[in-house]
Amino acid sequence: MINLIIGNCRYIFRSRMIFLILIFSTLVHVAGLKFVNHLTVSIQGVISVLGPKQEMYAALFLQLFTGLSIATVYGIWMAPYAHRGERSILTHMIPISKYHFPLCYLFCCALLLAINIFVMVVSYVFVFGPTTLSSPEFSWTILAKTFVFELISFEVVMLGLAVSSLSFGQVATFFIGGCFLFVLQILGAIARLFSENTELTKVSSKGWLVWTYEKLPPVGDFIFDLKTLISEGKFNFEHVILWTVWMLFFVAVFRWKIRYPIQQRSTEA
Amino acid sequence: MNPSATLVQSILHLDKVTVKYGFTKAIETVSFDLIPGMALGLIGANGAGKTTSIRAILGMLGVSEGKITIFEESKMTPKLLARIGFAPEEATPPEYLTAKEYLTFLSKFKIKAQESSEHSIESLLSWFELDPNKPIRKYSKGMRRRLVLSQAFLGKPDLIILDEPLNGLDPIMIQKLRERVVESRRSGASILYSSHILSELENSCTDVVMMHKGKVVMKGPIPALVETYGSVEKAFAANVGGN
Repeated sequence: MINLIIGNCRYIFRSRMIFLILIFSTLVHVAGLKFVNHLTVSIQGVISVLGPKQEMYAALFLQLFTGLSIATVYGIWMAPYAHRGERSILTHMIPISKYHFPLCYLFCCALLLAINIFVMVVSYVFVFGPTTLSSPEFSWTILAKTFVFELISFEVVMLGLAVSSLSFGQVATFFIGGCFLFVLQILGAIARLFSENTELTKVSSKGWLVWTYEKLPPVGDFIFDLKTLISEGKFNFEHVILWTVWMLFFVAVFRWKIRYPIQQRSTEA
Repeated sequence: MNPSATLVQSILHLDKVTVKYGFTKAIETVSFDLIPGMALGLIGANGAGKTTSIRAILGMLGVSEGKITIFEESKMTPKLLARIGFAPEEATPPEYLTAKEYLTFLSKFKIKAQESSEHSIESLLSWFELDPNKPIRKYSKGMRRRLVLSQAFLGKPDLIILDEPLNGLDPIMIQKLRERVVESRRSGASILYSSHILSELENSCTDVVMMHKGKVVMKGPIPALVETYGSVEKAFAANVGGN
């Protein structure tokens, strides 16, 4: 397993993925946080600048975008690399349990997401100064909890996209994945509207549609869960369990997908 | 087939194996044995079912009927894979590595002692005349082919499976591969060698299995075939057709 992880890290390094992440993530964080730094809020005529807590929110939401991008690129293009086309036969012959592959990709994606968090913290310090880290409003605990929550959910996205990439190809997955996430976001907003509006709940029974939605990866609730986590420091454990179940499901599906070498779509870039 | 095959424990045993692609039978009731020290040539025209048979043996395809036993196991496991060296007909090693890095990576799973691993890798790369530090993406097609062949011999496997190994090789490398196959066999490995170049199989193998349209049409030791038909080519022509 260690050797597989080392081999995969070498691929990440040699493919320059790591440098792209560092550059992309730094640019997004620094530019975004500089914008936030100059932002003023006007409430009932009183103009004020954003405080450390709002700045931290902004930083965490920015790294949400970069983290999702990393999971997408890793899931669609990098994780399936060894299992596609003619290369898949040589990978199949490596004498290890096929379960090691998805576990290795989970670990490597976690490393990339940890680097993304590190870049966020460095950018935060660069824009707001090192003293903000010792500010009582900057919470390392919330940062760690956010990281754990994002890690689980982004790993699911990554593995889901990897499975789809192995099944339908990379270009198709890019669009299918995008549409799927969009639909789940919309469903999440509708479900929230129903749950918060008792009048609507009365006229429309929840039924099998909502039951199904509640069993799907809670993409639509992700932002709300994160908001609760950042502001109150509370995990939505129900959703954490659901994300974990989906992660285990995708590990099993990935394992099942690579039981035989996948030789179709070998020419696709 | 060598009569001793029934007495000595088979390394590889195929018992009436059928593989289907959808509703089409790619191979049908294929049976043969491979015993220690044997070099078995799998002969057949393109589409005869040689590669399908090999893939079924290595657990790369589902078997519809029949049974495959390797090292007395009926299910392919990582432990079994560690004892098998395989050079597929077409394969691309990871381009971001150098040849030495690629073989070192594989050796971590196949060879336990680090010292023998380094020695083995250097010796293999030198035998197949490969630049150890050149990235694989800069390798020519022939060099990639040689690298794929070299990894099949890594860690001195008990069973070496070569699928059309001569494709893309120059005459000097063909000669060297022949020597390597003979050397591996002498050191105790069993070889399954698929090819449609009959003269090469006659030089490298001890036994042959002839396949045609997914079925085994003839099998036996090469000396016996040569004695009966004059050459393997003539035996193939007599059983499969052609001049």
